[in-house]
Amino acid sequence: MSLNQSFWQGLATVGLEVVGLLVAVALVGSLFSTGRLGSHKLRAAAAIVLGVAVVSLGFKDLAPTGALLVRAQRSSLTDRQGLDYCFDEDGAQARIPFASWLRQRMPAHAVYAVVLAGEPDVWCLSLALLPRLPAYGAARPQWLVAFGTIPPELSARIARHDPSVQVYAPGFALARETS
Amino acid sequence: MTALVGFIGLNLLLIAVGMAALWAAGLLDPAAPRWRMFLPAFGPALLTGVALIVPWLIVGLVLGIPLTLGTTALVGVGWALVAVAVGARRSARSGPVVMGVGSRHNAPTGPAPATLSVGTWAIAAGCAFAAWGTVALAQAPTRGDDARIWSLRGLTLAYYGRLQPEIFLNPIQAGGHPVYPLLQPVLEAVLSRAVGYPALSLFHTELWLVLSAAVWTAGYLIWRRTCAPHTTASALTWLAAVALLAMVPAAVNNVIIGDADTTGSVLLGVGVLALGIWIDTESRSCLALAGLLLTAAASVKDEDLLGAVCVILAAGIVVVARPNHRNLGVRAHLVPLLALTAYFAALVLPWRLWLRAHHLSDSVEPPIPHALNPLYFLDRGTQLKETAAAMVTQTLQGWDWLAAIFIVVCLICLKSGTARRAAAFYLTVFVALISFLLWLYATTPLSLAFLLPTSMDRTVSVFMALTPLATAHLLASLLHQARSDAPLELKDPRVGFQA
Repeated sequence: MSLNQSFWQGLATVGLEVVGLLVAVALVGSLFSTGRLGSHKLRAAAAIVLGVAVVSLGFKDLAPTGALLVRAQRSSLTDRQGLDYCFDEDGAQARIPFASWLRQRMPAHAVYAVVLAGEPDVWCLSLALLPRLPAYGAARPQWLVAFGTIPPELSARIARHDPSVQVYAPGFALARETS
Repeated sequence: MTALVGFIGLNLLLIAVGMAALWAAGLLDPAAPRWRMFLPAFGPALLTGVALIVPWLIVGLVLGIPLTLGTTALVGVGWALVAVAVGARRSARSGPVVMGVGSRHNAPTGPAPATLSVGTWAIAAGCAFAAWGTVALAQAPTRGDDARIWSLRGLTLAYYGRLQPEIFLNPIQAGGHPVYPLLQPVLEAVLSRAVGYPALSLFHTELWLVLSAAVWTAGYLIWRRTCAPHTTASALTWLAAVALLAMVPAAVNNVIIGDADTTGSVLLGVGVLALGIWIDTESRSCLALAGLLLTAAASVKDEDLLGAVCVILAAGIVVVARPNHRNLGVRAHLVPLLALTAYFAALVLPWRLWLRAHHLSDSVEPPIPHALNPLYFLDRGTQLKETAAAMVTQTLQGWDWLAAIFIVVCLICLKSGTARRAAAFYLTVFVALISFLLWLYATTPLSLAFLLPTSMDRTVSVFMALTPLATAHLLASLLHQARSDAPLELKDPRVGFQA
């Protein structure tokens, strides 16, 4: 459906709904015996029609909202699993163990620089590694994390068996940065 | 167990501070027995507590005051003491404020027995629903924007208690939205501190409680507004409209996934309702509450901030354009509205100034001042059309008939003269919010091919969350007035046939 069509179709739907409700108010108003459709009858008729519409809408929403809550309950996770859930969203479940490994080796409040290739995204990784913080600005990182790829300078350190570098798997390593 | 104690303790603190604020504003009924004064106000008290405390904590953070449990308690107790002092002074001076229909002197002090019974059942059903949601959301995973924007900042605040530059100044952090305000992260951090560990999953429960409290507050305000006797049917009708806010799947799903759209829009919606009741009844209690709620809404997301500005402007326009029937004069209304605006600005501006001082901006922001030029806006006809099409589609998909019901109830009120100023205000706000969002999307430098599918389903809640609440208020007024008029009789169906 084209943009124009969907806009006009949507607008027409709202318009028809408004007209339908107004017609229903007029019809209900005409059921009352007193005079023409003045403010008095209008209020009563509108209250009846709109009340019915609101209650119907509430009943209609009850089932899907209940289903949402049931699904939410069924998808319950432990705190740690819940925190790492964004890895799943990015299709990076296999990298969760490496994140746990990093958390065990980097002290809390450490500042790290990361070379990230592939999933997850940088925000998800930052969340998973908190309270360790990604380096920013002039602050010098205390750690270098290779997450999916090993940068050349780190490859060189690995090649010369630098004891400050720990390799988790090919492409995944942690290096303590010295001054 | 410790976590549960911390969770309950924090919420009791918020409720206690909110209750004191409600008492100060005259929104409790001191004539009622204690349990009937406090029990119906628990939901409004929680919402008021959040709206009162969190924006001050944000100001504190900007000023370099660390966010700890102690700071939270200090701010809470401080405001509670101020509220108690104000309430005691007000009670001694003028007696309780009664917010009834028409004059404040002739309003009944409580509901009829039938209303109490319906109200009791409604509260029981609402509490059961809220309890179900509380349990269902207690272990929800942290995903999507929650993980990348809200909880990333909330957890940082929980660990460090200050605006760590690595997260808050780094433009590539916080999901690329470093300028989003801090209400949700601060609430998350305070909760984490209260329970003693990073309570990311439990935080969904807190958001659910805020949604439930918003619905409760709306019901409470309307109940007080039309506290004349109701029939069971009339009370159930407007209660159903209020409850719709917690029944709309789009709104509930947003809370489940931990996004801030529902939180911001329900705070905005209840703020609009409180302003609508102020316009309708001149109840300054509601104006004060609106000030707190709009400030809190403006501290959730950028669109809610600009939405709150639209709401205050719309209130000003309605007050000036449609003076009330008691001819109190425009000035008598504008002065308290200006006081609200001053409080709003004082609490919202510090975060904005902090962002400006650190040269932070959002990729979504329209290029100002070009975007304010009408020619620039009109030149972006394609973007405007795309936005309007997506907006209409998402409104219909997510909120069904609510827009139509809201428009019709406003039109009926304008025609019949029932709560006419409030109806005019709600319609003005509705149109203003839609226009502002159209402008925002049409002028943003980001590609709409990305932005519309990923955000419009959530963004429409900015103007749609107010519709069930405004509908409930206007329906209650219509029902009240229809009952006050001479009784209507149904036509005898045989008359037509005899003729």
